[in-house]
Amino acid sequence: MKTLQRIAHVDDDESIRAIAKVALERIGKFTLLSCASGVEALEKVPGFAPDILLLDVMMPGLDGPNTLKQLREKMNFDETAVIFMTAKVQSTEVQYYKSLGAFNVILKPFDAMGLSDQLKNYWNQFNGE
Amino acid sequence: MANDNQDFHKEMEILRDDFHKKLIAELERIVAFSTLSDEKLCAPATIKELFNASHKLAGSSLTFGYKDTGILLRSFEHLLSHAIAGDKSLDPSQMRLKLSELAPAISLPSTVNEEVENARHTTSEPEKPLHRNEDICIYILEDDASSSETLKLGLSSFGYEVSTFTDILTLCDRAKKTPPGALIFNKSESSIVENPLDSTVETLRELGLNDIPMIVISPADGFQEKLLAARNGVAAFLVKPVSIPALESSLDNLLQQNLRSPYRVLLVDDDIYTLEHHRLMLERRGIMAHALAKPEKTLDAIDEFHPDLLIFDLHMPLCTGIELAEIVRYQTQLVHIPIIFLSGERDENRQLLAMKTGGDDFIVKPVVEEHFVTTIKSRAQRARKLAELMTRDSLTGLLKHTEIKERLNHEYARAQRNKGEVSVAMIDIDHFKKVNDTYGHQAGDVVIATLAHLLRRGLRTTDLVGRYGGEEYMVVLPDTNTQSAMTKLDSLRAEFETIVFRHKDEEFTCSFSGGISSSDIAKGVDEFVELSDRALYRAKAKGRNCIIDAKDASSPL
Repeated sequence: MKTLQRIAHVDDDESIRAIAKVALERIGKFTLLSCASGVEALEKVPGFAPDILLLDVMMPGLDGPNTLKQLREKMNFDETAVIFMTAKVQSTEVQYYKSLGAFNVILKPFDAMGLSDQLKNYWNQFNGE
Repeated sequence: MANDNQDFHKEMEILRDDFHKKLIAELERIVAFSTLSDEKLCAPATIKELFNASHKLAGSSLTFGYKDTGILLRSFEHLLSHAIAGDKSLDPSQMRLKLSELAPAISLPSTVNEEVENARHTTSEPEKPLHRNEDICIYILEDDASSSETLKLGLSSFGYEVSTFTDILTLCDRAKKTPPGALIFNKSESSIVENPLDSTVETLRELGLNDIPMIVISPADGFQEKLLAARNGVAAFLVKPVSIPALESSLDNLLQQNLRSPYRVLLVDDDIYTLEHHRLMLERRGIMAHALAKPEKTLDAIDEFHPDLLIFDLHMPLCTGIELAEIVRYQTQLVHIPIIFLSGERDENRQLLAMKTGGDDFIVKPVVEEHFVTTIKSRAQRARKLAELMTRDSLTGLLKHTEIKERLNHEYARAQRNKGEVSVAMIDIDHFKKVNDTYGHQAGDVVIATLAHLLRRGLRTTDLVGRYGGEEYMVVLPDTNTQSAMTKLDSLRAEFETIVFRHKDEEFTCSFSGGISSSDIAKGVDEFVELSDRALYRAKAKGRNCIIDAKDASSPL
């Protein structure tokens, strides 16, 4: 199995991006691409080829689900696990996100200390371990 | 890694300081909207902008540990989302009220937040002892303002401290200060929100309060309602009209679950490395595991350790796991303990054979930790539940007559062996027939269940309480002399007589009498019980509402 290394994170909130950056770079030692909007993600994510794409659901302008839809036209997601981040999770919603091709959903507020481990777990599961 | 963690915390500190400045600036901007005219304030564009701003800020506030501010912002966001969806028209004064609530958050020092962080990092939770004086509080949430007075009064008579809320955010606010033992969601028929349970659970989770066990009282008994409850992690589902003893018993069940001792698992495997590996795996996940490398000692180990579940390796030189299972199953009192086999082979025929001998599950080695632990936890939980149903009285949740006698035998034998002392008390509610005749059997049931509850909460977890007869109870207190037993029971007696029961508009009180004896003065377990019984009659003769020690009972009145 490929080791989890490259993570792209898309969130319109600067503070959340900052906290995720510290958590993922410092604790997880991952290579991180941070995007402030869906539009920025469309531009940068395909070239970055992330192992995991962390996508905030509710963003002004292009929201998470629509960003994913448009990204699919630009890149192949066979080896990329898509994980949505949202504050609202009801079981029906999780189903909906999964139907869009999300591998899983992380709840906000997330635990910064544990985020890297959580992603590693998802990565293992994504690879059928 | 320690260094990285330090760096991490340092950097988090910097981020948090930055965020604090940003939070203040953004709050100021939001609050400044209150200077707008009513018309402009309620304009769709303003509402949309405030909605976006409060959603975003709520999320980051909660992430950085600003819970209070986060809650206020969330509640503002909810209000605005209704206006956007068009299901409620927005009243400018309501908006102004919310904005004025946010204003004080601006002057909040950033240190509050460190406290939150510190609190979050203290992971080791001390074990909570059962304390009867420290009343467990229960929160009732009404999804509309209908009456829940009956529930409140009913539960209060069981000694719970009950508070009622009509708004989830107010409840959360209080729960952060005083976490309730359980939350009762009293769903009404005329609910205005479509799925209030969904949003309630969501709010709780967002605020980190999702550990509170929840009971739903529903007006409807349909599959859909139950499915919704199950999906939202609801612990118990009751249908209206709900009887107070039934509610009390599921409440009690929940509270006990939190205090319940860890699952106990006996592992038998001749390979000590594998054995130790599995034991550690289980212990790490909070399961008490006893490792045994000698299969011939299995029955002794069961007797000593009282496992909830047995795990046998299939291939051992002395005997196979299947043979060992046969031996265990010869003991009829052990039929309820689940047996799980571990084996390196995937041969289905062998697995089938293992099941035939009374094995319950089959796990292939090497085990996957997650699968292993989950299987064992769920098996152990079911086994306990079943064992409980078999041995416990349905009204009171106390041990049944035969079971409490069995346990007494056990404790008595243990005391003899260790040259220790065990006390036994017989307790009987005074003039119980009069309660039944005057107020009816339902009121009588409440009295019986209340005393059961009082005894269980007031005594140590190692003490055993059984319902011996109709209104008669047996209490077994291991490692206790009659003096300590007397002090304990007399304080419970004093507490019981102050409990006010309500029946329709009438109020009444009850009392109980008790007799105590110690294993020291008894020759054999039968005499032991008889001594307590005789002391109880003395107490009755003496005028009731008192406890008598068998040692004194032998002397004249």
